[in-house]
Amino acid sequence: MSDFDNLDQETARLRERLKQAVHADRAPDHLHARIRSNIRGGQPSGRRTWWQAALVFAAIIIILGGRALFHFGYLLFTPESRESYISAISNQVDGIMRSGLGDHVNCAVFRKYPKKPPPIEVIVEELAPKYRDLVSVVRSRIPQEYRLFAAHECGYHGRKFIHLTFHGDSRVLSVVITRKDWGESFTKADLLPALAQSGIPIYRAGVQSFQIAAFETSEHLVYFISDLPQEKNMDIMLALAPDVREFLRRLES
Amino acid sequence: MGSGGNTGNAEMPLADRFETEAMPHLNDIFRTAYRILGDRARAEDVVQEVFLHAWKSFQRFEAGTNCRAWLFKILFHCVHHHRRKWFRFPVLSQSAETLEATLVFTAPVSEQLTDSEILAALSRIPRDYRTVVLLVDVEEFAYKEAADILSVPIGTVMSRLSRARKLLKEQLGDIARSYGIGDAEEGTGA
Repeated sequence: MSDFDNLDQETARLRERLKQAVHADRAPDHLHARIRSNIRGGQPSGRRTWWQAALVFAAIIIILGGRALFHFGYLLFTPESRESYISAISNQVDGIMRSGLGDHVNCAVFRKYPKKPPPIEVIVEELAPKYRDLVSVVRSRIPQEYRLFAAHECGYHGRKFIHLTFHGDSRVLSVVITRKDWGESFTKADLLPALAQSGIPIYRAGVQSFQIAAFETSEHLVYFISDLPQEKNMDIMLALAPDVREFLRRLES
Repeated sequence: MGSGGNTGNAEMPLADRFETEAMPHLNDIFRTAYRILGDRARAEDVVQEVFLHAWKSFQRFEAGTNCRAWLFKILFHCVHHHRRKWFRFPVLSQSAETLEATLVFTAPVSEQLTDSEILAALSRIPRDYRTVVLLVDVEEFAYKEAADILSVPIGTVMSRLSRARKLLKEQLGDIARSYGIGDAEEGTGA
């Protein structure tokens, strides 16, 4: 103990007396018992206790759940936050796809649906007479598990749309039709058609959970947008496209 | 020095290792806590917390290092934490320099002084000095170990210890004088 080698005799004596006095104290027996009991009751960290693990797990679920809900647009309560969300996802697709996607999200995704859809006759009345036959054309091509909840004319960012909304199995499907602006065309948008069956070039895009399939007539852009898997979304559009194109051609002529 | 270093029991179950390496230092930790806090109940609470902290992080305790010093370091961490929670320690209002300046006579440590008188004198010196005396003189930590435990430079430990001893002798001198011991010895020396 080199630190103490040079202690003078008096300091050494003080030290010994001090040690003797302090060492007379001992921890009470119940303290030993209490500490041992505490230690037996818990594992050292690194082996987290079950409730700590449960808390961490719950926190992860809440965070991931919250992120997922936000991601899919369910936590966007204010018009500003919705608009911000639509803007964010629209920026990830080509310009010509944005109008259809924006109207779908704004009008169909941010909407509360009744448990049962209104009768078809009531829904159809929302449309101008010239578009009413479109409802039966589209319904005949949409799988029966998805039911028509709305068919109306709506507007988004100054553009007007014919919008048919189907809902079922927690999915939201939209057929969105809009008149082309001057010079607007998929062919000019540097997009390559994903499929050209039946002579109709179908264009495709996807962002987050949304799948977009689209085609054009001479005066209209037609979008089918849903949160279905990409392949199924395209299958439905392939089924829809010939009849819808025929319907629009009749209108355009 | 009884430093209680880990002697390579890494293969033992953790609880057994803790029992072997940490629990034997319970008395050392308790009496130091008691002398610093001056209250048995608080000392018990703090010691319990020290051992709980130690147990919780015992997996991270490096085998072969000084378990006793590690426990003391946790003790001072807990004391610091509790000091803020409970109260301000009754530190002497006079600075150490002022106290030293007033030391007019240092009586030899009389054999007639009892343990309780020595402990009472210890309790009257400022906490920072008392802490160093407890670590170095009572628990026999080397200066460097005490510096590590308190997270202060080694020079601070040395200077505090020197002042603490002087203050302690002064306190004991007062007691001795109250017995007439100092007066007699002073008179003899004159």
